[in-house]
Amino acid sequence: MSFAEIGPKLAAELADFQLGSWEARHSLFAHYALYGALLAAIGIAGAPLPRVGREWLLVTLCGASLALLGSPWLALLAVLYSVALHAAVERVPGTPGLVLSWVLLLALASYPALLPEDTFTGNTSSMREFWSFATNVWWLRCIAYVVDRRSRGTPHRTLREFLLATLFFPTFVNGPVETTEQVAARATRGPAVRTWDELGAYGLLVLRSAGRFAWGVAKVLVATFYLSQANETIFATGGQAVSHPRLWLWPVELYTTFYVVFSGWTDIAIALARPLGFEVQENFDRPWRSRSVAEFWRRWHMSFGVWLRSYVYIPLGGNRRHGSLNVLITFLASGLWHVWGALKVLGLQGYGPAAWLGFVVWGLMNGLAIVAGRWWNDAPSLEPLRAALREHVPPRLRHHAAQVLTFGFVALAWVPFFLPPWIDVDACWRILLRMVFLG
Amino acid sequence: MQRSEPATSAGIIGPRRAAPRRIVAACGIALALLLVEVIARIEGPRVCVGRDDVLLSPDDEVGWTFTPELTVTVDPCAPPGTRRTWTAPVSINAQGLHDQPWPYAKPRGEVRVLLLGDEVADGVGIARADRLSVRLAHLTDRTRGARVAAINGLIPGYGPAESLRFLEKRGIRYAPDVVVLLLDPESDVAATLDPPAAQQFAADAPPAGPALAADAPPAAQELAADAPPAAQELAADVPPASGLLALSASTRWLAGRPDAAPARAIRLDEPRPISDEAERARAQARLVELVQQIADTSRAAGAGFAIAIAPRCPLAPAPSAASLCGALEGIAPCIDLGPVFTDLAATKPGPSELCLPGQPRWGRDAHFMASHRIWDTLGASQLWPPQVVRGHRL
Repeated sequence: MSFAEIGPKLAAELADFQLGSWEARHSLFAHYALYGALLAAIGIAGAPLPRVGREWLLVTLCGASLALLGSPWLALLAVLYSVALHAAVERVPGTPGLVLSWVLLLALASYPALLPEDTFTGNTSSMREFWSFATNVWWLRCIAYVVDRRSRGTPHRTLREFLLATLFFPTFVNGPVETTEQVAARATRGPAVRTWDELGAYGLLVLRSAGRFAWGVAKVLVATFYLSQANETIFATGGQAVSHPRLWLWPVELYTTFYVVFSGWTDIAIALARPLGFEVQENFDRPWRSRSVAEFWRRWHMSFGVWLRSYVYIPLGGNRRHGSLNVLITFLASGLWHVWGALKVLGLQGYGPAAWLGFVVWGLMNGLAIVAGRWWNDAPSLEPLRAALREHVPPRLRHHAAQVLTFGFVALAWVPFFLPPWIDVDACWRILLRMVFLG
Repeated sequence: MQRSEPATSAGIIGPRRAAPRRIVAACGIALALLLVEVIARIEGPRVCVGRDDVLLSPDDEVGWTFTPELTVTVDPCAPPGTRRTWTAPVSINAQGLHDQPWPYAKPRGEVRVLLLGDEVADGVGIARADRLSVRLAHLTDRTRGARVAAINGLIPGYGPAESLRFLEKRGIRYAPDVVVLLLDPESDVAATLDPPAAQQFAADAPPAGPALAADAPPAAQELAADAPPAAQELAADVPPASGLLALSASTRWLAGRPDAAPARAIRLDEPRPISDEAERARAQARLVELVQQIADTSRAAGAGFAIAIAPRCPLAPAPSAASLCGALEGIAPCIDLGPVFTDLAATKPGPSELCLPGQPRWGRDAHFMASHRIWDTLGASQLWPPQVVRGHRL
């Protein structure tokens, strides 16, 4: 392309971008960010209220968020479900209460397979998307509360606290996945501004939050409109549509896009919660620095990793027995959790069992990589090899090589994760073969 | 949560203790009001998709277009209290098209496709990325070939006569490389004998009297503002705000009044259905004449020309469609989309989204199928310039 052609072409792309972003105002993200900011502002206006009143105001705003992003009917349903679950845990003693709690949890999990896909949401795809995202996180929080209260003896939480923690609007749509206990532990004293000094500090906090909010929005928009535009073409052609260097860069682009978008959502959740008196945990800690897949999962979607460790891996036995099997089961559970999310959007007819393989393969790839990493670190038979590496390869080089290998593996693992449901999983293998000049 | 309030600072008493909190509350309320205004401006008011008086505006040059610069959210006209099945954003450009702003001057290296016809594929009611025009452009591999811009010239009520007028007055100014005419085998044939009538009336006054032909001089179409009330449902729902409130998008949003409400409103009437075969033959002959004129105008402007038979929803087998395509194939390549949709409905597992519920407009699946078939027809007929390369976007 000549230099003279760049200007008009760029102008045309920008025109696309403008309208794309303008019409994207109806996307789930735009609604979440806009309505979230509005509700946070109302929450700030509730500062003069006493603590209990302020928290009830926040519960009301959580219900309003559900009504705005979904529908009043969905909001009512979610609140009634939460009230029923809280009553089952707190008011029904012994085994009947436990059974009732799990029946309620299983009912929420199984409705996509039992009911038509538009039962709760109509045929509006954005509302289906919202309900799918939200119930993903909400269900995990509900499970955590049942397990914590019934098996781990954590303190009783009032209905207000439970509703606020499980339906908390800044984190309800896309996490971080925080349990009721974590929310209670992180809750600050709220916007209790009693002196001029505190007012100044609170003003700064709001400004910093606004900055992080803007940063999160910018990340999501830029990644959405500029990255991973070739995904469908590459999947549809098994990678044939692009050159080899482009194909090698593509998993990196997938990784980058996902990180930028997902961390943008987290930035917004943190920014919305902080002025309301809640410190939402960070969800990412520079995952590209990981030197092993196990470390990656301590740096990527950290809240979900903690949840899986606490409520799947450790109850299975953790490292004490069948550690490798437990790792595989945990990552399989993670893959199936993503399958469940997609089922809620597309329905069983649009997302049949054959399409589930993408998430399952992704989960097993990560699980197997962690098992392999453990074997490499612990197997006595490999000690001579490890010792030779320690002796002959400088620590700095080992460090960076481990980072590059981990980054490359994780990037490749995103390929089946992003497989569109209407494309056969074979496309992933064809892409991988083409990457090594075999396709 | 279980935590204590901060200890009271010594020396801070009475009004001074309350003042910082009041300031925070006031700032929160002000911020909330500001955000309501921002949201109202971004979302636009919610308008029923059947509100021609809001969505369409008279145009002195081409009869009518979408209301320029309109931003609204449309829903399917469900009565109050019933469940709405969908909502969709609608942003109209300054030229009255449901599309992004397109400069008339074509950037160097760009290939332009101009879509002409009625509302079936105008995309009102579905997301932009799913629209026929956008999909058609995205089917092209931009990295290996030219950038294709598909201009959505589909406007409700446009039959062949209106499309011809639009092409002559506006369309050729876009310098299209290809013109694609979408024809409904029923209403567009009928419209050749009974052109769609467009009643105009002052925005705050209801229409009256017989419908006026769309190709009458614009001045003659305007009706007096004091016309007798005949269709109150088209008048504004609430009195307009005045003073500062008039500047507020949130008050207009609450009132359901769009930012760019047309000064003169319009309402389209359906053409009279064809009654017998003799009339159909006359109508079809007239249609062929008009399509020939569109083809001639396009080719004179240096553009290729193709026809797509695009049935309205609800989709039903139209026996005349095949013969229509046959009659027009001598003029230009023709693709009949009716059988394409029938096949999809029969073979796709699960419910298809060929139509928007209760609308003549197509749903996502119809736009998807139409974009692929039209692209392939243009390719098979060698109407694409050589620098256009087929991509694989789904």
